[in-house]
Amino acid sequence: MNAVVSGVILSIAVFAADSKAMTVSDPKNLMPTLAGYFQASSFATTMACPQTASFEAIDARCSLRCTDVFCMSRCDTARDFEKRFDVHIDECSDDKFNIFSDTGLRIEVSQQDFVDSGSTWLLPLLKGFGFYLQPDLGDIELTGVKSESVKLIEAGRIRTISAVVVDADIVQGVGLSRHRMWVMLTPDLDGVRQIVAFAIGDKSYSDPLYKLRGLVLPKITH
Amino acid sequence: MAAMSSRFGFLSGLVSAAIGLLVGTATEVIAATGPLTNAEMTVKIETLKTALEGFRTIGEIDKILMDDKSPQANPDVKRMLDETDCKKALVLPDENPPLQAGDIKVPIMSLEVSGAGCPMTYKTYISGTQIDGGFDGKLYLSYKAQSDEARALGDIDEIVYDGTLKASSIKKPQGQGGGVEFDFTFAVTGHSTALGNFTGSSGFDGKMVVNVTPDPGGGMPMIGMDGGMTEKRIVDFFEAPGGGLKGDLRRTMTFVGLAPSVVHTLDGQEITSKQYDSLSALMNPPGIGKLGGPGTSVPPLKCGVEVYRKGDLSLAAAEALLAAGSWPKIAPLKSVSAASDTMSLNNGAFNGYSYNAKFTPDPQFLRVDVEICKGLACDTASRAFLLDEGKAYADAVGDFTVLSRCEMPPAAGPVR
Repeated sequence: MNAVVSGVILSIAVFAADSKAMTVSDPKNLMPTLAGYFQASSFATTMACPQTASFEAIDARCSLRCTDVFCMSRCDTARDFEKRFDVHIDECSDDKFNIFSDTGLRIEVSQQDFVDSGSTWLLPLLKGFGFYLQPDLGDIELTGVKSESVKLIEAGRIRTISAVVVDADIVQGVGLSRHRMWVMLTPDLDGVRQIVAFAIGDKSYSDPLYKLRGLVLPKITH
Repeated sequence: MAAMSSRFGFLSGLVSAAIGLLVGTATEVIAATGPLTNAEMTVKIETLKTALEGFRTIGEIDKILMDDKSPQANPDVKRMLDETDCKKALVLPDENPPLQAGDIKVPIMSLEVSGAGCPMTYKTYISGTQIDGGFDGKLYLSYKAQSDEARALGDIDEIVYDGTLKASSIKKPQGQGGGVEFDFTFAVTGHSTALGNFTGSSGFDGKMVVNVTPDPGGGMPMIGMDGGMTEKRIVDFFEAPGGGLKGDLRRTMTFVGLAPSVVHTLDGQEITSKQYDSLSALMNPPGIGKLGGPGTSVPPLKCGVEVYRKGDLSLAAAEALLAAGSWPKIAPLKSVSAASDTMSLNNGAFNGYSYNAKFTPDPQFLRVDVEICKGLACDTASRAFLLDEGKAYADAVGDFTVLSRCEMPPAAGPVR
């Protein structure tokens, strides 16, 4: 109960040009746990500008609908141009930078966002998550943080990297029912590759909306 | 704790597999039976998918009972299980040796939560006896939500699994291989808030045998496989809105040599592997679903390994060729090929060396391992290929340069 009472309600901001903002709440005060996995580092060093990395997706965006009993999600399969795309860090200044994807995502990240996200760009991503949702409104409530190892294939070599999975619920309407979602980050990669995957649904079977090329997602995580 | 987690993982996987088969079948049934538009089908699938998420509650109960300090445990489930009206009786896997047949291990365990005032009742056990070369076991699981709060955890408020676990090892003379024969089948009954009562069954049975034939001349032995496996998925949501949903999906895999032959059927009618994959992929069930490797929906790559004498092709020269998009003009000492979706083992000998090239498909990539040995001294190289992209790599392996590559298949022409 204390955790709920003292939970942090994070600020609201509009970042994605074509989508309304999501609010992000952290009733279990999980952000310090996330920050513990990431070495505090300077904004400029971690998010070198400009840079580009290759990503891919199975689904493009999801429609959500909840009754009092359960929620339904319907995710549209990514079209050809959305299956493989580049994500860029560009248009940078001393205190902010922008993340663009070839598929239309745009997220502005301020230095304060970066600090609030534990030296990551998680919170700006979540606030701009409406890009992937229909309707593009609601609250994202952080529900868990855990670490695991995943494989990454680069230049034909398989290596194991540390990953941190943030579980969250998307709450819309009166909030009796919730959609699950997850975001996977890694402290082993910098910049745009710091967030390696995310999806609507449960991690063990949800198709990613966004995944770093070469990342091998675990099949069973529960 | 690590050992316990590992065993629990097996149980979870086993139960998930049974759940997954049920879930997967439900999807495919919808696709096969109703004259539904794609949009209607998608909505129905999502309805089922969401409804069946209630199964996850079962996994949460296992997790908490096996390790109540698990940071991943659902706090609502944990709180309900900790209520004073809930009586627990646990026999954890560490307390008994597992059932075993070859590499297959099944833990002996039982977990029970009961009590008239407890928000839920839960009972699961794996029991059985070790027999010569294998085991004869039983898997049972029942869950019932008894309070409104428990019913709100998920759409499935009552479910019973009753299954058989049998496995026996197939013994062959020393050095000639061996295998395992197995029969895991489950019957399921339950109730979904959204779809009403349902029954189903799922399972897989078959045998896998590795045959090793020694070379009389003392060279590398020949390796082959025989046997096969059939997965069966049958479900009947007989109270579902619109008249119920029923279907029977099977995949039968038969090994001849090293190449598996696979037949897919839906309600007894043969379907293509692509149809099977696309039906299955519509809904990724807990535990056994694919996680969206893009290669799962593209044709297999053509892959190969070529071995060159270092004196004929140095690593630097090979890398320069590949960087220029070229390929050596000289003939390799050895050349093997395989498709990216097929497990393949190749071995042989040349000039006093022996070699092994292994192609291991994964849902998300292909792993290629090459080993070249002179006597007992071996050098190796390993590469991984994404399934939707052609690539080539060069590696120095002892006295040789090994090139491995995968190529995209030629684009298909328009369908007429």
